[in-house]
Amino acid sequence: MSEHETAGRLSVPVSQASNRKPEAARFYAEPGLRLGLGLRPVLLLGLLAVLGGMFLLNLTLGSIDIPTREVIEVLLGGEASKKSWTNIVYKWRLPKAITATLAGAALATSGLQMQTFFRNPLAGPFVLGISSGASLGVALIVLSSGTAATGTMLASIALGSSLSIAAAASLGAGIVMGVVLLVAQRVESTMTLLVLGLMIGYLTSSLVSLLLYFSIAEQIQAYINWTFGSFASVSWQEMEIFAPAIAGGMMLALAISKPLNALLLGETYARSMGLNVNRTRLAIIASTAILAGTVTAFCGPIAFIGIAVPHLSRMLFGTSDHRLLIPATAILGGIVALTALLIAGMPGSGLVLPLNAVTALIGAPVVMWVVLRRGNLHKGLAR
Amino acid sequence: MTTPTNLPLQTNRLSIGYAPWHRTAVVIADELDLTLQPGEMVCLLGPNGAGKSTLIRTLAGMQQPLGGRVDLRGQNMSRLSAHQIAQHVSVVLTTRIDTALLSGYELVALGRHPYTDWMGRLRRQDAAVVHWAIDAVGATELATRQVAELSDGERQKFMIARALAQEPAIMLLDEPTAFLDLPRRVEIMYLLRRLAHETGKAILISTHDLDLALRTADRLWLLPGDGVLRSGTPEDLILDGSFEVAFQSEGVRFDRATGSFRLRSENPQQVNVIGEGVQAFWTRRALERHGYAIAATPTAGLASITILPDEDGAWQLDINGERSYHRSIEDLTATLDALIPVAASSNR
Repeated sequence: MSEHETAGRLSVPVSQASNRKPEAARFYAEPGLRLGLGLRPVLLLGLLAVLGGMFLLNLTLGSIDIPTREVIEVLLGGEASKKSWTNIVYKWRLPKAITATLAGAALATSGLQMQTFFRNPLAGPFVLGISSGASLGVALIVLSSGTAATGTMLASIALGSSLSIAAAASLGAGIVMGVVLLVAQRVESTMTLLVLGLMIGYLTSSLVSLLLYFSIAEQIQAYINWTFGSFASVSWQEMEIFAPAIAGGMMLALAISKPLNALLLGETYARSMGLNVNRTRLAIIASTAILAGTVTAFCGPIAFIGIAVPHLSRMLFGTSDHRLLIPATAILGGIVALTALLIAGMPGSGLVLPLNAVTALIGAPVVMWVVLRRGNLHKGLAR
Repeated sequence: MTTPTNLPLQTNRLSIGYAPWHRTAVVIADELDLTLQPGEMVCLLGPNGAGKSTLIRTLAGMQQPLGGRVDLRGQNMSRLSAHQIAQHVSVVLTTRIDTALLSGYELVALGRHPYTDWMGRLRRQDAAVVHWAIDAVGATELATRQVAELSDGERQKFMIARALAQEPAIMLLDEPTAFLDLPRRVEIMYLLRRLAHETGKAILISTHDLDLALRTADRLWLLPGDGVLRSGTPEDLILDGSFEVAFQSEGVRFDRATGSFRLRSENPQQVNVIGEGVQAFWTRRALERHGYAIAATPTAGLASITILPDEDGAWQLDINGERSYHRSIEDLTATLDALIPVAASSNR
């Protein structure tokens, strides 16, 4: 048997480097049309519209309902027909909705980066110990404050605008990330890094447990309140720090979407394609630290969004290409966060539920449903 | 002609092995002076643990040499960045890729990584190279399918296309056929051979498929456990005995006459097979499998088996002056086993 018979089809033998590219171009006059993005840009625009809708809904619904027309009036810089409505929309609901959008986008994006980085579907923004570091910082400042100060501390948390809490959380998260970054430069294996991140998490949570054990009920309550998570804690003044930090982290995430794509094949292949794996690793950790660290500092450790949303967007868009996946995940993260915020606010009831309870309570069944439905879909195709 | 300085790959007194943290280095092979010529397919053979992967990793720049140097087109590899090395060398590894949601096309397009801008946008010529690479491995019809839905063999073709799309001078493949069934192995090896000859790339493949390597490789690198690498055409290495030495082990020997591996048996009983053609070939195979040796001269055997060409599928067995006829090989070997057992300790 000749080798040409065995070797499969190659209609025109490719013999020289000089003539092969025009040859390929003849076969595929318009490669972009043949293997393009399909309906994905439309889907992306659709999600953007849903995000806008959810944003507006969060401004109209709440303990009291404000007509959409009035809300838009306020957004355009005018005054609502009632002075209190202007106040509610501008001072309360708008920063809350912006915070939710940015926080959702940031958590989902950093979760996506961690899942790709560790090639693990269970990874999320906090696997490297960001939330553990932040919680230790917060625990130290809340639980070590004297009993006399507890009253004011509680009040400030209730007001949801305590910069000291954010500072403590940033410091805690920053120290942990600093340690992880130092280790990441010395450690070859990504898995080692994952285990180290987990261990740092256990270490800090045991320290928090110890602090809790020796604290009084009010202090513990204050700490627990922080762990519930809240989008209501960013004032306009704090937004001046919060929004640019998130924007910076998102920009860095977009800038490393090509290296993230190369990492889909694993670090060995990525290196063989010319990727500076060490530098990419630092960029990924830095971006995640900025995104998840900022959100945790201001809003508390918000679980679920970071792990679940990347899965949702991968299923919706059917791709692992980060150039599409990062914007998609960010928008979807914003939508999920705004939905959680809306539900936690219990429109018309005057009650506010803990955010972390709502995200998982509503989100987990949705993800389960999507995963199971997709499983069936696959079986259907295979038959 | 290729001058020595712009060979795709040349090593100079290369020493490979491991240098574990805080411990003395473990040298696997040293004093390696190797070259890869453009358009040649070289198979790297050797028993497990001889250091095939270490050599591949060192040549790919993933592992530092313990000594000596590797030159890529005359440039010292240790002075090149990962980005520059990627334009000389691409790899295909044994590890399976199954976490990503990528189409075959998108997977191959990743191979353009060293040439695209910071967003990884494919220019027109990049897209053309991707299409060419997919076409070259004969996988155009599958390009829009998700990689996860493909069979192992199809997926490996796309991994080869990805390595091809990287437009390297050298492709290094570490056991690319390890997970494939036999027809797929044959297909992939012939595909690689054709790619080497038609694209002018130097292709180095480490493999355990000795038989296939002997049939497809332009040259072999034999790396036995002793750390001395022998390079040559398959036939030269067989004829000078290097191949036998490299793979000698308990109970198995390499038979130069047939180019295949045999179970070693002590003092085998010799039998004659008289006849030609397919039937004779499989008769010899069956007898060898049963532990008999085929006598080199017609008179040396204890028994003589004649293939009867007229009566299709019949064997005549002459043993100690007695003659019998058999309709199947099973029947023949059963009779033979009863009359002259393989285990008999006669000195002949």
